[in-house]
Amino acid sequence: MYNRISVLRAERGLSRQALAEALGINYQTIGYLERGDYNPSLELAFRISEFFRLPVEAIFSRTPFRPLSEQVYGSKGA
Amino acid sequence: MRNSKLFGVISMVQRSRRRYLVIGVYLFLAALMSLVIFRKGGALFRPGDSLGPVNLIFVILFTGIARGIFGSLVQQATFPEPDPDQNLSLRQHYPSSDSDEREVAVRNWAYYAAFRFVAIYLVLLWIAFAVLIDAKTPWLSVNTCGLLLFPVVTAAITLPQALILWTEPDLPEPDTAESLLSAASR
Repeated sequence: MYNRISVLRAERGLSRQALAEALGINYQTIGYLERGDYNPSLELAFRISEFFRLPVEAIFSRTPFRPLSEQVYGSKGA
Repeated sequence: MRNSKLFGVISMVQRSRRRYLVIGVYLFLAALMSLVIFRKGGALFRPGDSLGPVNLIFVILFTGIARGIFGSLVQQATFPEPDPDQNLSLRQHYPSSDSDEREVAVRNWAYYAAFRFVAIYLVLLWIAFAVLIDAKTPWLSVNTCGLLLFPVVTAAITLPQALILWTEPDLPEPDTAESLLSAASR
């Protein structure tokens, strides 16, 4: 499972600790999620998507994500 | 794993270090057991030797030390407390403790793996005793049984935490908002 948690977290200037506290989990779990060492339950995935106010499929994917910049600007050039 | 420093000083962030620790602690156990077994000039213990008190002291001492070292790093509730308000399927995933879902999953796996080890060891021990009793082996005694059961007692108490220390990948560092900003500005 691939995810964009680290990108979204950096974008919003959130530390692992702050995100973990907001989600009610251990900060290490955030680290493991970002590294792909742990796949969240459906419940946690939805909690994360609600926190970032994004759809689940924008944060989690079974295939590697294209870089956000390429996704936003790459299609305009094509 | 809640604590990344052993005795508040030695960093246990890296998995390789934790594995050295687990090996070291269990080697310490093996050395202590060897001292008991070969304490009389290389002779294996004899029938009539009183090993009961020694066993008891070892169990208390060793499991205390191992449990103290492993437990100081893992620092998770040992057993989930059942919540009567939750149904069984929910209880498996969300026991009433301060552990999150990943920690609970890791802990459940560790207890299952440790139980499997203890169960297999006990079955093999039972078969071995059955064969040895039939063969009327002269050195087979209550002391032998006690000594061979000692690893089971130790494993039952310390193995789940040792497995967690052994298998958890390198721990993620707790970054701060400041470190994120400095990384972004580079």
